[in-house]
Amino acid sequence: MRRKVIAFVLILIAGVILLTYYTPSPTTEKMMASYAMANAEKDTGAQNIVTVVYLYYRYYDTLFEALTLMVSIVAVIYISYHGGGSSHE
Amino acid sequence: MSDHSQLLSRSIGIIYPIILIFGLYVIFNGHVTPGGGFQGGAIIGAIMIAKYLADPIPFLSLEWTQSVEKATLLILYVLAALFCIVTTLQIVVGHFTIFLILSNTLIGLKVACGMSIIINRFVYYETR
Repeated sequence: MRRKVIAFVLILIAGVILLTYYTPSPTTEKMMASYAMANAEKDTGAQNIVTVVYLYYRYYDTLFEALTLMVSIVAVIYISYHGGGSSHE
Repeated sequence: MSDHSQLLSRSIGIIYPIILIFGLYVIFNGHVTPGGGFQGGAIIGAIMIAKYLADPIPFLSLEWTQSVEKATLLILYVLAALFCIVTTLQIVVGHFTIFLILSNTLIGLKVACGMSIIINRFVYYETR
Protein backbone atom coordinates (compact mmCIF):
# COMPACT_ATOMS: atom_id res chain seq x y z
CA MET A 1 0.00 0.00 0.00
CA ARG A 2 2.75 2.42 1.02
CA ARG A 3 4.72 1.70 -2.15
CA LYS A 4 1.61 2.26 -4.26
CA VAL A 5 1.08 5.64 -2.60
CA ILE A 6 4.72 6.58 -3.24
CA ALA A 7 4.41 5.46 -6.86
CA PHE A 8 1.21 7.47 -7.28
CA VAL A 9 2.82 10.59 -5.80
CA LEU A 10 5.87 10.17 -8.06
CA ILE A 11 3.71 9.76 -11.15
CA LEU A 12 1.72 12.84 -10.11
CA ILE A 13 4.90 14.89 -9.69
CA ALA A 14 6.22 13.67 -13.03
CA GLY A 15 2.92 14.57 -14.67
CA VAL A 16 2.90 18.05 -13.16
CA ILE A 17 6.49 18.69 -14.24
CA LEU A 18 5.87 17.39 -17.74
CA LEU A 19 2.66 19.36 -18.17
CA THR A 20 4.27 22.56 -16.89
CA TYR A 21 6.76 22.61 -19.72
CA TYR A 22 4.45 21.17 -22.35
CA THR A 23 3.24 23.81 -24.72
CA PRO A 24 1.22 22.31 -27.54
CA SER A 25 2.24 23.99 -30.77
CA PRO A 26 0.81 22.21 -33.79
CA THR A 27 2.28 24.80 -36.11
CA THR A 28 5.87 24.03 -35.05
CA GLU A 29 5.33 20.29 -35.38
CA LYS A 30 3.78 20.79 -38.77
CA MET A 31 6.69 22.97 -39.81
CA MET A 32 9.18 20.30 -38.77
CA ALA A 33 7.28 17.59 -40.60
CA SER A 34 6.94 19.58 -43.78
CA TYR A 35 10.59 20.66 -43.59
CA ALA A 36 11.70 17.04 -43.34
CA MET A 37 9.46 15.99 -46.19
CA ALA A 38 10.56 18.83 -48.42
CA ASN A 39 14.29 18.74 -47.77
CA ALA A 40 15.18 15.17 -46.78
CA GLU A 41 16.09 13.97 -50.23
CA LYS A 42 17.81 17.23 -51.14
CA ASP A 43 19.93 17.24 -47.95
CA THR A 44 21.13 13.66 -47.97
CA GLY A 45 20.09 11.98 -51.18
CA ALA A 46 18.21 9.23 -49.37
CA GLN A 47 14.65 8.47 -50.37
CA ASN A 48 13.48 7.14 -47.02
CA ILE A 49 12.57 10.15 -44.90
CA VAL A 50 12.43 8.12 -41.69
CA THR A 51 16.08 7.13 -42.09
CA VAL A 52 17.04 10.73 -42.79
CA VAL A 53 15.23 11.85 -39.63
CA TYR A 54 16.82 9.29 -37.36
CA LEU A 55 20.29 9.37 -38.89
CA TYR A 56 20.61 13.03 -39.80
CA TYR A 57 18.11 15.40 -38.20
CA ARG A 58 17.86 13.47 -34.93
CA TYR A 59 21.16 11.65 -34.73
CA TYR A 60 21.65 12.21 -31.01
CA ASP A 61 18.38 10.39 -30.38
CA THR A 62 19.70 7.38 -32.26
CA LEU A 63 23.02 7.37 -30.43
CA PHE A 64 21.38 7.51 -27.03
CA GLU A 65 18.76 4.98 -28.05
CA ALA A 66 21.57 2.57 -28.91
CA LEU A 67 23.18 3.34 -25.56
CA THR A 68 19.88 2.75 -23.75
CA LEU A 69 19.51 -0.60 -25.49
CA MET A 70 22.99 -1.61 -24.40
CA VAL A 71 22.41 -0.53 -20.80
CA SER A 72 19.17 -2.51 -20.71
CA ILE A 73 20.97 -5.59 -22.01
CA VAL A 74 23.68 -5.21 -19.38
CA ALA A 75 20.88 -4.95 -16.80
CA VAL A 76 19.27 -8.14 -18.14
CA ILE A 77 22.57 -9.99 -17.89
CA TYR A 78 23.36 -8.88 -14.36
CA ILE A 79 19.89 -9.02 -12.86
CA SER A 80 18.49 -12.19 -14.45
CA TYR A 81 18.76 -15.26 -12.27
CA HIS A 82 21.20 -17.99 -13.16
CA GLY A 83 22.27 -21.10 -11.38
CA GLY A 84 25.98 -20.90 -12.03
CA GLY A 85 27.47 -23.58 -14.23
CA SER A 86 28.67 -22.63 -17.66
CA SER A 87 27.35 -19.07 -17.64
CA HIS A 88 29.68 -16.27 -16.75
CA GLU A 89 29.25 -13.73 -13.93
CA MET B 1 13.79 -29.18 -25.25
CA SER B 2 15.00 -32.64 -26.18
CA ASP B 3 11.71 -33.75 -27.75
CA HIS B 4 11.75 -31.12 -30.49
CA SER B 5 9.90 -31.75 -33.69
CA GLN B 6 11.90 -33.06 -36.63
CA LEU B 7 9.59 -31.31 -39.09
CA LEU B 8 10.05 -27.96 -37.39
CA SER B 9 13.81 -28.22 -37.20
CA ARG B 10 14.14 -29.28 -40.84
CA SER B 11 11.92 -26.49 -42.16
CA ILE B 12 13.63 -23.88 -39.99
CA GLY B 13 16.99 -25.10 -41.25
CA ILE B 14 15.81 -24.23 -44.75
CA ILE B 15 14.24 -20.92 -43.73
CA TYR B 16 16.94 -19.27 -41.70
CA PRO B 17 19.38 -18.33 -44.45
CA ILE B 18 16.41 -16.58 -46.02
CA ILE B 19 15.73 -14.71 -42.77
CA LEU B 20 19.39 -13.65 -42.69
CA ILE B 21 19.28 -12.40 -46.28
CA PHE B 22 16.04 -10.56 -45.61
CA GLY B 23 17.53 -8.90 -42.52
CA LEU B 24 20.63 -7.82 -44.45
CA TYR B 25 18.42 -6.50 -47.25
CA VAL B 26 16.39 -4.45 -44.77
CA ILE B 27 19.60 -3.02 -43.26
CA PHE B 28 21.40 -2.21 -46.50
CA ASN B 29 18.34 -0.70 -48.16
CA GLY B 30 17.35 1.27 -45.07
CA HIS B 31 17.97 4.59 -46.78
CA VAL B 32 15.87 3.75 -49.83
CA THR B 33 13.01 1.54 -48.69
CA PRO B 34 11.19 1.28 -45.35
CA GLY B 35 13.43 -0.38 -42.79
CA GLY B 36 16.81 0.38 -41.31
CA GLY B 37 19.23 -0.73 -38.67
CA PHE B 38 16.85 -1.35 -35.81
CA GLN B 39 14.35 -3.32 -37.86
CA GLY B 40 16.94 -5.37 -39.71
CA GLY B 41 18.77 -6.07 -36.46
CA ALA B 42 15.58 -7.36 -34.90
CA ILE B 43 15.01 -9.64 -37.92
CA ILE B 44 18.56 -11.01 -37.64
CA GLY B 45 18.00 -11.45 -33.89
CA ALA B 46 15.01 -13.63 -34.76
CA ILE B 47 17.46 -16.12 -36.27
CA MET B 48 18.51 -16.95 -32.72
CA ILE B 49 14.94 -18.00 -31.89
CA ALA B 50 14.80 -20.07 -35.08
CA LYS B 51 18.14 -21.64 -34.22
CA TYR B 52 16.88 -22.51 -30.75
CA LEU B 53 13.75 -24.15 -32.16
CA ALA B 54 15.74 -26.12 -34.71
CA ASP B 55 18.71 -27.14 -32.63
CA PRO B 56 18.80 -26.06 -28.97
CA ILE B 57 22.55 -25.90 -28.40
CA PRO B 58 24.18 -22.55 -27.53
CA PHE B 59 26.67 -21.62 -30.23
CA LEU B 60 27.42 -17.99 -29.41
CA SER B 61 29.19 -17.14 -26.19
CA LEU B 62 27.59 -14.32 -24.24
CA GLU B 63 30.88 -12.62 -23.53
CA TRP B 64 31.88 -12.56 -27.17
CA THR B 65 28.51 -11.20 -28.29
CA GLN B 66 28.64 -8.54 -25.61
CA SER B 67 32.14 -7.46 -26.64
CA VAL B 68 31.00 -7.17 -30.26
CA GLU B 69 28.04 -5.08 -29.17
CA LYS B 70 30.16 -2.71 -27.10
CA ALA B 71 32.72 -2.37 -29.88
CA THR B 72 29.95 -1.61 -32.36
CA LEU B 73 28.54 1.10 -30.12
CA LEU B 74 32.00 2.64 -29.77
CA ILE B 75 32.52 2.60 -33.53
CA LEU B 76 29.08 4.19 -33.96
CA TYR B 77 30.07 7.04 -31.64
CA VAL B 78 33.41 7.50 -33.38
CA LEU B 79 31.64 7.52 -36.73
CA ALA B 80 29.21 10.19 -35.47
CA ALA B 81 32.08 12.37 -34.23
CA LEU B 82 33.99 11.86 -37.46
CA PHE B 83 30.92 12.73 -39.51
CA CYS B 84 30.42 15.93 -37.48
CA ILE B 85 34.02 16.98 -37.99
CA VAL B 86 34.03 16.16 -41.69
CA THR B 87 30.79 18.01 -42.43
CA THR B 88 31.66 21.01 -40.27
CA LEU B 89 35.06 21.49 -41.89
CA GLN B 90 33.53 20.64 -45.28
CA ILE B 91 36.31 18.20 -46.10
CA VAL B 92 33.90 15.90 -47.87
CA VAL B 93 30.72 17.34 -49.29
CA GLY B 94 27.90 14.98 -50.10
CA HIS B 95 28.38 11.21 -49.83
CA PHE B 96 25.65 10.93 -47.25
CA THR B 97 24.61 7.56 -48.61
CA ILE B 98 27.84 5.93 -47.41
CA PHE B 99 27.36 7.40 -43.96
CA LEU B 100 23.71 6.27 -43.82
CA ILE B 101 24.57 2.72 -44.92
CA LEU B 102 27.49 2.51 -42.46
CA SER B 103 25.38 3.78 -39.57
CA ASN B 104 22.52 1.45 -40.45
CA THR B 105 24.92 -1.50 -40.64
CA LEU B 106 26.48 -0.71 -37.27
CA ILE B 107 23.10 -0.18 -35.64
CA GLY B 108 21.83 -3.40 -37.20
CA LEU B 109 24.81 -5.38 -35.91
CA LYS B 110 24.39 -3.84 -32.48
CA VAL B 111 20.67 -4.56 -32.25
CA ALA B 112 21.18 -8.11 -33.55
CA CYS B 113 23.84 -8.73 -30.88
CA GLY B 114 21.58 -7.26 -28.20
CA MET B 115 18.60 -9.38 -29.20
CA SER B 116 20.71 -12.54 -29.34
CA ILE B 117 22.13 -11.78 -25.88
CA ILE B 118 18.65 -11.42 -24.41
CA ILE B 119 17.36 -14.57 -26.11
CA ASN B 120 20.46 -16.59 -25.21
CA ARG B 121 20.36 -15.40 -21.64
CA PHE B 122 16.73 -16.26 -21.05
CA VAL B 123 16.73 -19.49 -23.02
CA TYR B 124 19.96 -21.13 -21.95
CA TYR B 125 21.07 -19.60 -18.67
CA GLU B 126 17.95 -18.52 -16.80
CA THR B 127 17.32 -21.40 -14.43
CA ARG B 128 14.35 -20.22 -12.42
